[in-house]
Amino acid sequence: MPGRPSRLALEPSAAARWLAALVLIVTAIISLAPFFYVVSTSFKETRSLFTYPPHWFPDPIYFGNYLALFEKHPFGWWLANTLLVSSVVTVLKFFIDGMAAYALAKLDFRGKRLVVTALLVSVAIPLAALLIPLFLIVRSLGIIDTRIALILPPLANPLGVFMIRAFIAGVPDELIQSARMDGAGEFEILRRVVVPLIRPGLVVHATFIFSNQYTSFLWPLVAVRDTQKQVITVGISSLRAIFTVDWGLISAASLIAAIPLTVIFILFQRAFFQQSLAGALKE
Amino acid sequence: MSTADRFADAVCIEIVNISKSFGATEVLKSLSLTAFRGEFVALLGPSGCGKSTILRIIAGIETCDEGEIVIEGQVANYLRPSARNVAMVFQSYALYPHLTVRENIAFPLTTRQGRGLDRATISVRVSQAAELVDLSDKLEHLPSQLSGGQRQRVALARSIVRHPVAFLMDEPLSNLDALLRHEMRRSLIDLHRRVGRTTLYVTHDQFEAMTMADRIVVMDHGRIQQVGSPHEVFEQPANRFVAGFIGLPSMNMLEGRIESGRFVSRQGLRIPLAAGAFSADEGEPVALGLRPTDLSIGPVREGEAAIVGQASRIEYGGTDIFVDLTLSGSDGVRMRVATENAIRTGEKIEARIRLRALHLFAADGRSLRVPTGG
Amino acid sequence: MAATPSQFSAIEHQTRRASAALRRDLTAYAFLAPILLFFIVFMALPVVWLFYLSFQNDGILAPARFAGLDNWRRTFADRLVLKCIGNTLYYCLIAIPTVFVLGMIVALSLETIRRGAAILRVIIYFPTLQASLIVALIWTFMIHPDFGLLNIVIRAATGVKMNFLGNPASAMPTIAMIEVWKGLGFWAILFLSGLLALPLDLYHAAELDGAGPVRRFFSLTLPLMKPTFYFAVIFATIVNLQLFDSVFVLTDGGPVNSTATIAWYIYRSLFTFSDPGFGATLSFVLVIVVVSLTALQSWLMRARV
Repeated sequence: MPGRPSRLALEPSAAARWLAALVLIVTAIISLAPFFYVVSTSFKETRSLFTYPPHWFPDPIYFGNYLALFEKHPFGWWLANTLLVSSVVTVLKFFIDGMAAYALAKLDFRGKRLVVTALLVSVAIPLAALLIPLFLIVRSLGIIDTRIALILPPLANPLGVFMIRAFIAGVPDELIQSARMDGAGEFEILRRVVVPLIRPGLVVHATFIFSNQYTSFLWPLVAVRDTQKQVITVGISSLRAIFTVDWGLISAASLIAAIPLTVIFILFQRAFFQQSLAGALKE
Repeated sequence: MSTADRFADAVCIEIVNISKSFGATEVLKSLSLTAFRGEFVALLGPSGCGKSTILRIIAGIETCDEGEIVIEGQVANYLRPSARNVAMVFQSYALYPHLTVRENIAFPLTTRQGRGLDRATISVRVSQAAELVDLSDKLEHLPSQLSGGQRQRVALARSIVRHPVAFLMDEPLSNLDALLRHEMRRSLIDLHRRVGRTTLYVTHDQFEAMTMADRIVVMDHGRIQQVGSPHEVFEQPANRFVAGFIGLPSMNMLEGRIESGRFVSRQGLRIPLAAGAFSADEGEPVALGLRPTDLSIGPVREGEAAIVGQASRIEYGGTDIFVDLTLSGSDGVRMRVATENAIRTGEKIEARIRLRALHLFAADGRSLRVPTGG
Repeated sequence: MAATPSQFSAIEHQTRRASAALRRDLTAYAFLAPILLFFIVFMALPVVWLFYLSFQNDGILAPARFAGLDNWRRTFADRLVLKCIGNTLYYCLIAIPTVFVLGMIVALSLETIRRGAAILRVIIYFPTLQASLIVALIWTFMIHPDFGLLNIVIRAATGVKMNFLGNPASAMPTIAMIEVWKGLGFWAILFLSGLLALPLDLYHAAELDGAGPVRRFFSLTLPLMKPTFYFAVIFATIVNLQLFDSVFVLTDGGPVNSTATIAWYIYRSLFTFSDPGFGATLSFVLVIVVVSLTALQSWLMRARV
């Protein structure tokens, strides 16, 4: 079977393709192996881990770790909080970023340069640097240690705006002008003409925002102390005791934590890759 | 009867002293123009002359720096595009790719500003428009499933459905191949006759303008060079630019001056001029214009001038041959000859041209022709 | 054609023009209002507050008091600050080139294969998807001296147990490698999209001119990918200068502060030392480091193009 011409070798010989395949399989194994080990560990009792040589397959299979998660820790709460916060942020960001991106991409107004520069520069500002003032602001707003504190600050991140803006820029200007001539107001244009045309891009944006929120650690660590209101990353981190680490427990927790994100990603991976790889991938 | 008389004083669109600059470039320089009701006006000129900009300014997609746009007696400068009651057909058609033909055509009627009509009326209007452009059987298709010509017609239907007072068309046929363009030209003219609204049509193709327009506005570098009927613009070009732009192959120009009432080229070629036809001073540097189609083979007759030269290049065009005739020195003209004349390269040719068909232009480009009545 | 006199006076034109412009601006800002609101409250305001805070002491346990340039003096005198900056830069220097090279290799491989590419893409992207924290925990486990998979393999081969995170010399590189493992999927996909945008015609032409695959890679692929690489370097720098999660979980700055990063120190100063003033000063330093490094990179790369 002749290979597809690639920028590496125009007619990849069988050897080249085997090499590429090898690289990819090795990478895939290296990417997945740790997770398999984690799966296996989650079904073992932590004491049994110290035997050498170790067994790949747990014998006997132990469910205690999973039970402990829900019985001894507010794991269910952690999961629920994380899903709630991530979803709310994703939905809100859809509107906030979408509207802002349209204005930046297709509208002309005084002060545009200033706004764009301000937003662009702030992409470089690290969250860690803002921890302290954010903490103080949130505290003085009276929302410290609440889920609201987890939702609001991430809404300010301008990265999503630029992402959608790039997609909107791909919509031809004449289409927008035509819609204006047809009597549509700007918001109507965004809703009826632009959004339907950038759907794959919006999927990428949503996936990006959701996974960012789901995996965020630093801000939730600072903003919320109440273990019932905590998110999953901080929760898992708290599972480590001072002297001993219950690896079985942590493995189980990590596994469950990874599931929602993985599921969502697999659901949307087609649109995600299609958009990021700009439709050049037709397989 | 001039165009102005035909359409009486029903002015549809008027542009008064419009100026527009993009950054440092002045694209339109104090331009004024009138389009009457029901007229088909072509805005003709090379790329970058500003013709599309005028259209967009009238439509409201672009703002002008100075001047006024008056549509049906109302100053429209500060009205939104949709409030101006004009419709625009873009070069790229600008069809909504995710909507069917029906939804595309209905779009202007369903917008917030689009008159809030009820479903039944919208449906009727859409069918009417679709029928006018002969697309009634394609209403449920998507634009991606249509050919270039069909997409063009959807764009037309969408503009018709709003019952605007005028149509603005920005090179609508440029994206089509030659054969299709020919067909669409005729459909457009038919449509114009049936619908009867003012149309402003931007094109860089002089043949399109000539065959379609009631009046042609020839533009260059942001200025109007001449406004007139196709006939006027062809027979009596106001300046060198118009003369060279209209008519294919383009007019031959010979540089020289006036000597004792005759044209003498730089290489010494002498060509008599019809008495009283031109107002030029003795010794004035001028340019003589000869259309390739006005030159013919054969000995000189009464009221004609002789052009003798050597055929240096011959291009075969099917029904016609185009011959490059080298006159004295570096002077040369192109002429069109019927194929029957077997001409070979290097052959000496005796050509002639009616004195009345000659054009004369001053050093600044304007025509030196003495205007005749009618 | 004689010009008709204008219907509107000059003043009328001016007023109408102004109100049309105002309407246009208001519409635009209506769209921008939400993001600007959050931006000002949660980004702009904090930056300003940082500056104000850096002149204060306490404020968490005790009421705040003015401290003048105290914090700034301490920042420049504190050796740990320098170590943090050094560590962070050291980390970037290891992690970024490594992940770029590996990412390119994977990207090229992905481009060459047609069958099964979809599944492989998902698998390779899997680590990127996970929380940094979780990845860190998993790897702590993997490199554990006693039962970590990696050590088991090493022990089987050499009979020695390695304590990756306990050794000051190897701690930071270990964290770097973990982050590389995590980031590989993201960069591979990014580079792949850059690759796919390159026109094949150029490659055909080069082949006709006698250029082999290696030559084509260095003379064609790499130069053409410059815009992608420039963006990548800037983005990677911004992200990696903020390293926190792994450090917090794996080593808490140790051993012997060999993995202390700027972000880590900022967190510590707020929550362990309850010294927001000092932390704010540090934060300001971090902002300046990141922004200026980014600007420097942008400038350097623009000059080359």
